[in-house]
Amino acid sequence: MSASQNLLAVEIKEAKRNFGNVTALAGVSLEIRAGEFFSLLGPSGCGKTTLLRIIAGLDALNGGTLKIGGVAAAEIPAHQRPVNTVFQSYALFPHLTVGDNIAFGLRMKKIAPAQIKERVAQAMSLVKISDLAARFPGEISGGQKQRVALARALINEPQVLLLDEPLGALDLKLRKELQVELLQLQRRLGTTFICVTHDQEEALVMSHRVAVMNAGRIEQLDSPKNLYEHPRTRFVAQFLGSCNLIAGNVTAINADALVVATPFGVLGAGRRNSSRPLTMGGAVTFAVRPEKLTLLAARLADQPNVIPVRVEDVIYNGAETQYRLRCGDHTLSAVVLNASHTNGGFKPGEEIFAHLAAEALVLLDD
Amino acid sequence: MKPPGKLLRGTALLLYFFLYAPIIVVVIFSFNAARYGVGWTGFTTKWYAALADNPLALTAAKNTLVLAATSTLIATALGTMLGYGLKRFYFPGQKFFQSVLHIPVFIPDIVMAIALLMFYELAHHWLGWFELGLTTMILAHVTFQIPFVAIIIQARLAGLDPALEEAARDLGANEWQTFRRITLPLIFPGILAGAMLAFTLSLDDFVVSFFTSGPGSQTLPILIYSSVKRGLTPDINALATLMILASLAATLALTLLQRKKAVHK
Amino acid sequence: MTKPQKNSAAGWRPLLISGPAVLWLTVFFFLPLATIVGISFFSRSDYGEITRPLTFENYQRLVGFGFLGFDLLYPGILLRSLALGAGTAALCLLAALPLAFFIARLGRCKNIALTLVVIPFWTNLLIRTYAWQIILSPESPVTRALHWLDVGAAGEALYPGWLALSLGMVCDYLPFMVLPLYASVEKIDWSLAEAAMDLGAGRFQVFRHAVWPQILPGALAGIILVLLPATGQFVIPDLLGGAKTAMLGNAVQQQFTQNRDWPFGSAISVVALALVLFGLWLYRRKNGGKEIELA
Repeated sequence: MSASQNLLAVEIKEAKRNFGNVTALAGVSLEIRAGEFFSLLGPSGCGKTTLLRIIAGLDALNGGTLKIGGVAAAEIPAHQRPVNTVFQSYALFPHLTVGDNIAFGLRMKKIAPAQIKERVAQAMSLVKISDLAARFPGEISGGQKQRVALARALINEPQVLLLDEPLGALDLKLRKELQVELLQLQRRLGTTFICVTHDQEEALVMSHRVAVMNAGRIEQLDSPKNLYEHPRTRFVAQFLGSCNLIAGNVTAINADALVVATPFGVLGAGRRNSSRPLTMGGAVTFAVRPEKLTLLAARLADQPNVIPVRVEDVIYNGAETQYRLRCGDHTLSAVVLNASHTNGGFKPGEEIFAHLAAEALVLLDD
Repeated sequence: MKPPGKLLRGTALLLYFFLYAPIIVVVIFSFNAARYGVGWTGFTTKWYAALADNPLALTAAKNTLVLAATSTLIATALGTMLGYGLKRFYFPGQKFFQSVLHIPVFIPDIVMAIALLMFYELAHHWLGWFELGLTTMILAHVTFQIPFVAIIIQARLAGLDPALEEAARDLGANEWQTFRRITLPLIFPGILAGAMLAFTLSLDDFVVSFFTSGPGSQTLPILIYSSVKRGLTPDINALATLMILASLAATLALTLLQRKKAVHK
Repeated sequence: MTKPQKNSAAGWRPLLISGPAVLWLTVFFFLPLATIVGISFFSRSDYGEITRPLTFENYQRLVGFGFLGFDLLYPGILLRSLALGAGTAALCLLAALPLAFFIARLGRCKNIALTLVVIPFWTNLLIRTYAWQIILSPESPVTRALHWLDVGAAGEALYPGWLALSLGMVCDYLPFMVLPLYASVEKIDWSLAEAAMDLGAGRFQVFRHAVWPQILPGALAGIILVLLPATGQFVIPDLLGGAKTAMLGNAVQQQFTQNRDWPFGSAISVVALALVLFGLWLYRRKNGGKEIELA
């Protein structure tokens, strides 16, 4: 399998899908590169599973086009597409043994029995379940089922592997373990993985690129780092981690910076990463990650973007401490690593200062 | 939940006894030596021996089995297809058909019986088809068996995770292969239960058989009915006991079979 | 999120799969029903044949306007059949309640106890019915005991009659009531009953307000499963009921065997069918459009 960045594994243009008068996909365009680990992230009902099912051929488009490996695929039935799916509930066949489940795809292709045996053994050792061949799905654990589902799909050497909430049914510890394993497996095989998830951490950890979806549209498609550091919309900013939103009006526009009047005072910010036209007096919104706030006991003379706040709530969280800060009628949240505290942190009721660095203020498109 | 109290236990036992009283009585009296009436005059197995020499009973038994086996085969095939078709495919009038599928289940036997009789009579009168006999009985039995089988299959399909069939398609199975390799094995216990029910309904049926039978196609229930009408003879009790035994064995087999499947799951 | 998908691509395939059974039921069920509806508007010739003129007379006879003025025979049969169905359903409900609770409270033996209720259903109805003739015959201990209690005349059988009929009907239909009722009883949320008890409700009040509403769906399904077939039952009234308790089913049979009045027999059948359809329709309306679960 080629991992060349130039090849497109999946190409979707203006994909539309309605169920009655419910719109699941409202014109989605998307290019997924061969060899990449791509995630579709969003809340339930955002259309991500529908998109996955359309790629698999289990659901059909109402409009738009779909290409898999450069070939128009919308009319190809599911069983002839070069893709395989790991289903959310695993969908292991209860009446077949683990070995027969994994061999299913090859049997459908009428591969010689000897070869099937060999490849099943390979696939099972790939996902570390070699000793389960004779068991029935009802007799193995959730984590093992997940591995069987993975082996059953991968044994067919699909161009694209589709994963529908692959770790959703597992407990936290197992999920973290399998996240890393899945990631390593993908890097080793070089197969294109498209993973649907509502778990932002899962998407950030495993993916090369992530498309954040909302209400049948893609809000932002970017690398995990860019998504987190430079969210483009309120939805993305708030869906991935927590975020302070600060609204204000533009009072000055320079070549590479702008000045905005906000309820917290006048703040200066960079203007890169903004696609929206800026006008004097126009309304803008910034996103600020809680951990990007710096809390100060005293104000340094003439330092810009420093606002006086009162500590309202302090939540100790082990590695870090969360603060809720009040400034007039508005609140901000801040997170400080406990290791970075020099004085053991602040107490509720304390009057302190928060520094919102110009780089921490991310100008949103909406 | 707490275990049943004394009063509840007593009432329940009494009700069980009530349910089984007729069956027990028939079995006991099949061993009664008395030729007339119900006075106990001694133990005998001669009525069973008498059955073997009763050509009417033997023919009726043969007819009953042929009728039940043939109708069950046809009804199970058609009913399974109908249950699957109604659940998985759309066709015009499907909703309507789904909603009228319950009518044959609830219609009084006698109404169905005479409707079929009238239909056969008219078709015979005008077209010369449907001479009353074993064939018309088979046609009639299949008719009341189909809905039961279809309903059981539908229930079984409703309990099936749709992702299983999707997974099969995803793994390269075409529609037929998906049905053959995945759907069919998974609904097989339902098919078996449906066939079993269809077979029992056929064995049990008297009313429809009575009206759609012709000369020479007497079945065991018809034979029992006419004996009861004429005045019971003790060999009928022996016959009934054998029939009870057969149903009991079949029920037991089905229960065990389903339990085995359940363990498997 | 997964939406079950119906293959609506259609073409000839659904027809091939559902078609044979649909065709079968159309020819051998719906067409015959249409036939008797049609016949019910014809008249009977002197030789017992179906003949013109088309008439409503058969239905008029059923509601009491006979040849010789007002005649209560057929309205009586109609009401008696409904009473038999309703009475059977009521008695079955009364008997099924303790059985359902008993089974639900058993531990591991639940399934066996439930199977024991179903087994009689699998044995032939005719056999279970004529057995009551034996049980209620003059010399049987049961009959003697009942005579001693002043039930029936000494030396005579207790059938045919209402007592025999009721016993036979309840014995036959009880499993149909127990199964759906048990399914509801199994699912009862007892914390509601405990809460009611906690709030000072008496035993009856607890049952009435905390338990009964929870088993009502099962009871309703059971009532339909008993009431509809019981109203049209033919064999049991025929063997245990006798002439004084002729029911719809017996009336139909009489028109087709002794009287050879096919149009009138058809009319009675159509009314019986209408009753069943009305019952099913009513149940579906009350039950939010859902069918009765049989499987």
